[in-house]
Amino acid sequence: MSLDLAEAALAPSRPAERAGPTKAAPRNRPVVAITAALTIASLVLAWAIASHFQLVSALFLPSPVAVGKAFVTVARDGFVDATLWQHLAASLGRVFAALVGATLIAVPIGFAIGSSAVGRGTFDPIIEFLRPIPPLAYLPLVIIWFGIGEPSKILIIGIAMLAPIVISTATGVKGVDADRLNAARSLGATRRQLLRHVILPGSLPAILTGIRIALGAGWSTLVAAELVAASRGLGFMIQSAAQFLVTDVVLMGILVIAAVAFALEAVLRWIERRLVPWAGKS
Amino acid sequence: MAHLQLDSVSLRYEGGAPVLGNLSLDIRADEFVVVVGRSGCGKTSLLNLAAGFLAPSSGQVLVDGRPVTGPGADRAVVFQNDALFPWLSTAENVAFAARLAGIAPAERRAQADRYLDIVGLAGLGDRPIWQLSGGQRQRVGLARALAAEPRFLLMDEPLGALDAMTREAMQDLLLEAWNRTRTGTLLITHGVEEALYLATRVIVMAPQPGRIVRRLEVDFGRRRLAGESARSIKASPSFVAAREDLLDSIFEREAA
Ligand SMILES: Nc1ncnc2c1ncn2[C@@H]1O[C@H](COP(=O)(O)OP(=O)(O)OP(=O)(O)O)[C@@H](O)[C@H]1O
Ligand SMILES: [Mg+2]
Repeated sequence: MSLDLAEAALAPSRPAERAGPTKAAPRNRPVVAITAALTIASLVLAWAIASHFQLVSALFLPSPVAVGKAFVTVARDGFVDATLWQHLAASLGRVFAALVGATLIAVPIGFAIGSSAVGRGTFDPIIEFLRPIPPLAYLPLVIIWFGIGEPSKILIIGIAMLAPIVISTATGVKGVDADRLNAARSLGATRRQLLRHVILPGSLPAILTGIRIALGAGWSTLVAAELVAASRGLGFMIQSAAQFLVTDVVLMGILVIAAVAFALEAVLRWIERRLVPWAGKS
Repeated sequence: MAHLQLDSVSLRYEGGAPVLGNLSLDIRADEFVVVVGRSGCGKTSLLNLAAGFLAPSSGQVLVDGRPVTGPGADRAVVFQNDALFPWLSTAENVAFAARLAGIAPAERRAQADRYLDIVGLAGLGDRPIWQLSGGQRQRVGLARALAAEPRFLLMDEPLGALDAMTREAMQDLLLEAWNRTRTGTLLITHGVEEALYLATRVIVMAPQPGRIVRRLEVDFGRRRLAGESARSIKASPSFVAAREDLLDSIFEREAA
């Protein structure tokens, strides 16, 4: 969803475009950006009209202005004992802790699956088992096993991030060009050197893609994770607001989550461009 | 003296028809062996056997009488598609063997610049690989193999992506590099003139199964090294006759 938008937003920072099939893309960028802006504008307009003429009760659909006001009040005075920034910081902290943990575990597993039959046999069943389970399903089990503290929340998010990183890493490792491996071997590379100098850099684009997907999965799990006795966090804020039918804060929370996810996506794409500028070019 | 030997090798890929049938070929230091033959006749497969990327289904590949068990730094390869490392700069690609050997960056850089100069790419060391043209990349691939200072140089259509003029310059460069190091060389090409111009021995292969149907000793490269001009060599009656002869044996076998 936000992928194309992020791409459009980041278009100007692209390093020197070279001749080739990618050339056509930049010409489409303004069109994409303009259409996207129009879509968003018309959605907001429809929303404003619907609430202005009371087509929907304000309890269900507060006006954009009310949501804007909620943003300002919560940012300044807070909601359920914490300001918006404290909620945001709590959520970001969990998502990043989960991302670091998931990456440290998932990348080696991905390498094992991608590079050896034993690794594949060992880890594939676990990943295939974890992958389709919705976070709300394992949530109770995590609470029973690990309690209601902070680690449980991070674990819930981390589990959702594991599979995307493992799968992309494994795909990346398997996709490392055979000629490049052979070239390195005929220049004297040992197995370790192959890993360090060819397989690792060769699969880096795929690993980064996996991290990007995992971040998306992590955000979608946030609300579920913050169901667990949280006292701060965007997901917690939304749930509390929902219980008191403070719909403007609910909407505002949703928009903040979307905006933060979008910003993170953009940051990751920027990192990709810096770290693996060659990806997709040879 | 270095000696690379393919001794009655056969090769079949899993489940397929034999790609190489009972083929023998010797390459010694001092020799420049060029293989020609139409597309799909097994030239790349032959080179992969010599490099140790593939093991023969039967027969043996030997270096100085010892069986080859895999690729090694004694046999550097220039690939049909360049197989460079896009995450490294041009210079670091050229000095990749030195990097593996743990040589310090400054020294690697000096080595890379030396070899980039040899292949006519001086000053491009800091370029990312993906900002080079196809022909420039092939030359980086060649520089990378030369920089490893191997005992054998195995090249799969290394000049395929070059325009006619660069190609002729690179042919001379290959001849000079070979003359200086006397590295035993195996080169695959589709160009009959290129084969005659570079080789000390031309090998003609025929398909199904891939086998050698002709071996031709030539000395045009040595004439070039002795100072005769490329044009006068290529216009000489003996060159023209050899070319017709070679074309005949390629097409004759193809028709059969
Ligand atoms: N990995 C593989 N698995 C199965 N068959 C293969 C494989 N590689 C090559 N072949 C087959 O072996 C035969 C010889 O292939 P090879 O690549 O050696 O030909 P070539 O002479 O190098 O051709 P070209 O001049 O087009 O590069 C072909 O018929 C090809 O289809
Ligand atoms: Mg080939």
